[in-house]
Amino acid sequence: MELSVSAQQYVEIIKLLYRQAQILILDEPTAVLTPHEIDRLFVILEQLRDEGRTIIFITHKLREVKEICSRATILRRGVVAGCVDVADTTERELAAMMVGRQLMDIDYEQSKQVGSMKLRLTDVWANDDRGVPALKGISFDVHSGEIVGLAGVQGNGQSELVEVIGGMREAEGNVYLEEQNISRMALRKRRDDGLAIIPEKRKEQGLNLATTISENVIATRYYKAPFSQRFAVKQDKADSFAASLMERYAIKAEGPRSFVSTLSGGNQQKVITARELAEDPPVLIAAHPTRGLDVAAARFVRDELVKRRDQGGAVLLISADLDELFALSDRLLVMYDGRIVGEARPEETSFEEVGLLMAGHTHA
Amino acid sequence: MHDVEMEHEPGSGEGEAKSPSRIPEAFSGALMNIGKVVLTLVVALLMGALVMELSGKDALEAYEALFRSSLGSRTAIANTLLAATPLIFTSLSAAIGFRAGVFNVGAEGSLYLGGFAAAWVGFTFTNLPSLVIIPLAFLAAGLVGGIWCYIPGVLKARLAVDELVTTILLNYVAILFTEYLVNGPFLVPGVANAMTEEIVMAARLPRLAPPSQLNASFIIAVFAGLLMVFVMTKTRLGYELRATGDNPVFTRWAGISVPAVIEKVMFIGGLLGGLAGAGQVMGVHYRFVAGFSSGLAFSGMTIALLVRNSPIGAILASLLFGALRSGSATMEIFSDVPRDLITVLEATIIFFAAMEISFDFFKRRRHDR
Amino acid sequence: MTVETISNILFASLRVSTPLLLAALAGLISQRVNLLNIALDGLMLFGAFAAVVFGASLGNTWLGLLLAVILSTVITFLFAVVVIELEANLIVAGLAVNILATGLTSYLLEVLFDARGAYSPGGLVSLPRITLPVIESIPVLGDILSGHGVLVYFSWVMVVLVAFLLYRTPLGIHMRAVGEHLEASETAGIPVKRVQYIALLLGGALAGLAGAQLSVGNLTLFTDNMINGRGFIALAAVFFGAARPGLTAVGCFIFGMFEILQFRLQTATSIPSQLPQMLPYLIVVVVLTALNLQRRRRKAVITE
Repeated sequence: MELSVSAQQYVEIIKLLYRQAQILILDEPTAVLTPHEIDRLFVILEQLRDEGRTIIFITHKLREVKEICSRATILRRGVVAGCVDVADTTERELAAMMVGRQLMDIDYEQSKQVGSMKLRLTDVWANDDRGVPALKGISFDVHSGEIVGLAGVQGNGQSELVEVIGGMREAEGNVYLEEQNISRMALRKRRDDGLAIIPEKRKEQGLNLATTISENVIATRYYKAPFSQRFAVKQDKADSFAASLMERYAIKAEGPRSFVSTLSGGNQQKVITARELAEDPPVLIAAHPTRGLDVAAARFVRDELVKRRDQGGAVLLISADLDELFALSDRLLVMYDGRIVGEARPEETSFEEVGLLMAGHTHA
Repeated sequence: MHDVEMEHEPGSGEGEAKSPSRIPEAFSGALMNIGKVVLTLVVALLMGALVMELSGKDALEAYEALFRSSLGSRTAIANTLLAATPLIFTSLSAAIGFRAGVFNVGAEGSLYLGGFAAAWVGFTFTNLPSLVIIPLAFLAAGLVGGIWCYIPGVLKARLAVDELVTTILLNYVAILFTEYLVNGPFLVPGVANAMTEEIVMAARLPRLAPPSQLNASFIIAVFAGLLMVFVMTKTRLGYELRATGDNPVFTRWAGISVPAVIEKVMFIGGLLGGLAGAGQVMGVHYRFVAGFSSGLAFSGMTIALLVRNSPIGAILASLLFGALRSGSATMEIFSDVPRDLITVLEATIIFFAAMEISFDFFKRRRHDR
Repeated sequence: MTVETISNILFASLRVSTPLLLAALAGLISQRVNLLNIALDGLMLFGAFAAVVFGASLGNTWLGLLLAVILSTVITFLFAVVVIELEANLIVAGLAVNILATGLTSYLLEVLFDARGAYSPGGLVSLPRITLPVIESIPVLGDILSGHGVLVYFSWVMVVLVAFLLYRTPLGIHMRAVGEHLEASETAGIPVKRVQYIALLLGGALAGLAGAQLSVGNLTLFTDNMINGRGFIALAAVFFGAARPGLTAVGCFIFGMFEILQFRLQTATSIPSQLPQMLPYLIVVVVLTALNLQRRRRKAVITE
């Protein structure tokens, strides 16, 4: 594609117009545009509106809603949370509808003791697969004995962030594991030094669906004792390890040789969680760990995260579920457009505030 | 962009297991396949019969000659095992690659280069005893063959250069190069072109069942097969290559270096190809003969596809294909059906293997919903 | 190295790159709909076989050519059904076609003509050559460009036609859309399967012509390994040209030139024949590697 992204956007719109579209649906159209390009797009959209066409503009950015939309419907967790005239509604009110009110049904105790720094990112820049910058100068750290929650609407760089921490994406800037600079280290070495990751995409990144529980839980340790002896992998040790994990984490299956593909989503997530937490890793990255899970399974995973923290682990929790983030985090970071745009302790802020930040509202 | 996964429980409530534990992969692979293999073979034989009848040949007579000469007597069976020997090696070579998701069809090249290396050892080191020279020759063949496939392996692993295209092209290079060697530096004056001098007596593999040319390389091949079973199911590399073949994304997230796995698998594939060549040189021809492989590597690939990469299955299917090959010469003589018919059978089998892979795909799709 | 020698070499290069070009165009069209066509070798072999066999038995080279196209298209149709409808593995099915081609052509050659390995029927004329009226008088260029066989010029025309198809017709746009983003194309209402079928069938016809050019374009001879991996070299040319007709044609010319050069090297020097013969294949591997090296270097590292 030799056209600039905004030019591609124009092409898309022209395509729609060519087909005499009376209703245009634009899904997050400004995700990759510069402010200048956004303004030009809006000029066109207003023109189209004045011609009598209908435009449905999907966005999570409040500024845009206020700037160009006449009416707004807010969706939250698959339900309509509000339907308003934009002119009569403040950004604050919009944000509140986006994130809803805190349910207060998840409750965990705060961390008892926050220790030394375990994970640190300094001025990290990275591109996404299209070559567009996805991380723009990320800096933060996570200490032992704390859960740092990272709030943000999906697509603002969270996936790329996990990949950079794991060493699977090239980046500028530095990543430290305790005092060690791991920026150039391969993932296996990072794991050996104490990093564990519960990945976002359970089936694609977290499991090998074509094989057994046993084979899945040793994926990060098959080359180490007691699972490995010289060049062989000891199946029996893997099986007994899997069996003990199944018991400890209440994974419902017939046995360690059950195929992971036959497990429910919740149990699959338990397999991943078990594998990552089994050796009490000092640093745990949990990306959307309770997505798509039923209440019991979600509670289980959260319990494990808190347990890890209480035992001295450093946990980075990336999630789109504000209830979860508020309940679990000792510190909250908000990510928007590849940057950390806010930091607070959950008890010192509100859903509304965080929602505003997630939606790009800056306190100008 | 918005990909919330909601899990559906097909029936039995949260978390109950739906399948019993499985028997070891090697056996279950072979067992599951036998039914499909039989079906595929029947269809292939029917296709062959169709082709024969349409071209005015008597299919029944041809098949009768085919099977009589491959299984009908002690010598016939020995010849079947003889024909199976290189196929076992090349099918293992393809299988281990396919299992890791790598389309390594470079065994033909490794076969030629490895075979030549073995011959070279065989006629150069004239004073070594059998116990030394034979392993040395196999070692040389394996190394040379391995390196030959390692090169496209590195290109694939580090630069994503398509290994199917490169290994096929390099096959031609290897065939031409050995042809050059045989007609040039290693030309033996006075002998008909296209073969080197003979290897010394000490380097020749013992015959197992004269008058057949069946030799000890058959035993080595079977042993290699069993070794591959061990590698695939019990070693670290086996774990890595299975994981890479199943889900390379997950394998990467677990911290396994997928490029390293690809390189190793390509090397082993080439090594096995080299051993195939060595077996032919040291057990059958006793010299390097240009063009001695009649599509051995492609047949090996067919076998690997047919048995879904199971090493045990590969051994068994190689016996079957060996029967087809050894019987085809007689079939040609007695019922005037060119042995190329066997290639047509193989192609039919591959077509069906290609489709079977798709039926698996359908099954898995339905499951994931 | 006289001018005459050079123009001689260029003339021969153009001739020799024709089957590569036709096959590469076939591969290009398939590649545009994101179906890597591994079966080019086999389809070319079927085409070469049919041209000779039917040309001889029907007494007319043109009929042979027609039947070459028909046969390769029919086989392609089978291939297309298996791959598009049954969603079979593309690579495996392609290899099956190749193996089927080697087996079936050798088998039929022997059964029908009692010929083993090679077949050159007497009385079969090769395709006619054309002298270009004005161009032939131009001093050096005339010798290079005029006097080629029919299919040579046809292949050049095809380059333009394929480019036209891809970039100026709705079908071509649909093809490129399907190749780049299948789901978006489906959403936009493009009949994806139909487009893929058409792409493969067009390619099949071209591949058949490519094979025919080899067997009846210059001499009239069929040998059972006459394709010799050219289908894969054609694919490499497609990668080289990033599936763009003009650039792919350049790639074919370069590879064709290497084929001629190695042949001249054989006859002109005492270098044994096999070594130059290895060159085209090696060059292709090197080219593919260089391509990917360059692409990797171009991949964005951080800007800003």
